[in-house]
Amino acid sequence: MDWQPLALTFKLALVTTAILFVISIPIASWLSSTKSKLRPVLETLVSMPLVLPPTVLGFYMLVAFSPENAFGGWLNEWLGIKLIFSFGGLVLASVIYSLPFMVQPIQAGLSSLPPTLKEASYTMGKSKMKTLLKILLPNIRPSLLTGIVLSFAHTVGEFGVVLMIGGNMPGRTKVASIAIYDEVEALNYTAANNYSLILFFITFIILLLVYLINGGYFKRFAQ
Amino acid sequence: MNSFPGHITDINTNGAMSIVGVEMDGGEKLMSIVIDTPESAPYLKMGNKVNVLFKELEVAVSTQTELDISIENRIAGKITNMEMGVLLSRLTLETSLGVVIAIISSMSVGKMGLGKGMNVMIMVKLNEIILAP
Amino acid sequence: MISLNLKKKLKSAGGQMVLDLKLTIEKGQFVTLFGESGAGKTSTLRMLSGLLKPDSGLIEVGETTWFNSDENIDLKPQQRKVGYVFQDYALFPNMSVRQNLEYALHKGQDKAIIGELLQFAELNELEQRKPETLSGGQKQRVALARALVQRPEILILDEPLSALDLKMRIKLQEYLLQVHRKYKLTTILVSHDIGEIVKLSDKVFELHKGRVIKKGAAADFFGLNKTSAKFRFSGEVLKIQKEDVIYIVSVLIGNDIVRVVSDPIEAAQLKVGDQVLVASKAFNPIIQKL
Repeated sequence: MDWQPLALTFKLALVTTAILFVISIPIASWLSSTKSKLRPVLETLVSMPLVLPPTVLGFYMLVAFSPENAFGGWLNEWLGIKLIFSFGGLVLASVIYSLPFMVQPIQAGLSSLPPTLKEASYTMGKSKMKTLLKILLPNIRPSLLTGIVLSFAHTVGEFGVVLMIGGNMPGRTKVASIAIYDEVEALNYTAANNYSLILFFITFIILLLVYLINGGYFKRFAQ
Repeated sequence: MNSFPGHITDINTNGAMSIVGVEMDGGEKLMSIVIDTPESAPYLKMGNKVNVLFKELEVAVSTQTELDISIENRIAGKITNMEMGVLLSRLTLETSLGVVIAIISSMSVGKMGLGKGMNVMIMVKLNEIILAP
Repeated sequence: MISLNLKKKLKSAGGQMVLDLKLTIEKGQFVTLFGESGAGKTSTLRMLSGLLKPDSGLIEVGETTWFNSDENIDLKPQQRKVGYVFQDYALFPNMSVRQNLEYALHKGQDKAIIGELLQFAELNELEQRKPETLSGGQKQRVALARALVQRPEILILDEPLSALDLKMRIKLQEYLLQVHRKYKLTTILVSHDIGEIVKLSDKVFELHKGRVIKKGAAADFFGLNKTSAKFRFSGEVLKIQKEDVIYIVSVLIGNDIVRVVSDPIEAAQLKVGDQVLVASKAFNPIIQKL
């Protein structure tokens, strides 16, 4: 069996989740505290990947990043970045595609905290950054965990966007979900089943861990 | 609550307590004992205006003017109105202080034969009088 | 001295309200904002501490301008550094009692104050506990101690004792007074409890629909308080019933219901729900060991 698609899948999921974690915290923090009129617009944009067929997203990214077009050409020429049919492009597409799965749990977590926590910290002379890092984030650990795991699992499971923008290049863009499709196309059901089983069990275990931790089971055992 | 204005004319302090004499605007003199001294309560000063308060139910009524009894505050009054209840009766009295309300038992009203227009003495023990600056 | 002159449109439960407030507070005073809910008391505290921005007006504290809408001055809450005790205590759940206090230290501040405050608030034995394991009164003491760490000149207390039982409330009232004196604070309290207000504050401002409608020394504010009667409590009228030629008024004082006999003339001025003072001479009550 070829392990490369699986390794690539988890590498992609890891990189995507790490990037998402870093960029989602400021976005969620802004969304949970702002009274700006732009908020519904940004919230909508963040949530779009939830309802949009992945192929739509993939199609527009394919068009935008294609070296034949202005933006893609500019990226290629000036920065030497080629986003279509490359791992970098996959990461970017996955980040956008999984954005709501990271932003929404964090935003919900932050909104559920009593505003007085933040205010108490401010009246103690602490900056917004320090308040976020020392008070707010530590108190929404379950939400952070949920965001991380959902993004990770969602990236592992994505298919449409990857196929559109990454294609099917072994070792570079051929992730497990595409490999499964590939094997089925080739009527190679045993290989497809192997990939599927591994994905099934890994995602099952990850999600189970989240429910155990967030459900407070671990806490109760520790006490 | 019966409440009448006056001013302080006497302060006799011992330890934490004082007996305060108050001359009422009508010229009568009433006395009160308080757990205060001029140091603890700045309003206790000769000449200071105070209100004298006492509860209707703390007023005793007597038909005799000279009674050998340990009630310090005595004022003459005339019953102008009576409201008889089963257990208690409410007397309205005209005094030099003004209108005083006394609530006493209907039993006593009957035994003493009190009635509208009668002249009586009303009495209040000095520990029942509250001063309000 | 603190002077506030503020305007702010507020949305309250009863619709829109314009808060239009002028008040001055002397340095070192213990001041209470009193009034029905929705009168703008908490909003006033939040504007003073920088958590809510007034539409226009002026906030001056001593020689410093904290807010001036004409000159575009608006100090951040971080720069105002008031000690703020929130109604829900706002203890940080992820930190122990000691860590909650330590978090409030400003850069380079001597840590000795933490020990001093823990001791003063009788929290030494609880210092490693997390807030969720504390009782209401304990949380309150932590919140108060934490608000004092940065040595503020102004202490803001937003109904700090309303969630506590009577015994704890009385104990903490004593404690608030001690804190106020010991740290030479200017303290601003929001409270509904008349007994508490009379006991704690020098001055009372009554707010109604965003305006100050009455102010005065706490002792004068509620009228009868300044009697020589020593046996006195404030409470709420629960029931007024006529008996014979008198009325019997049931009053809730703390957790106890007492009954007071009242003349019809007085009873006519009372209604159920009124806040009242019940007083008697110290000579009358009997006392017995239980």
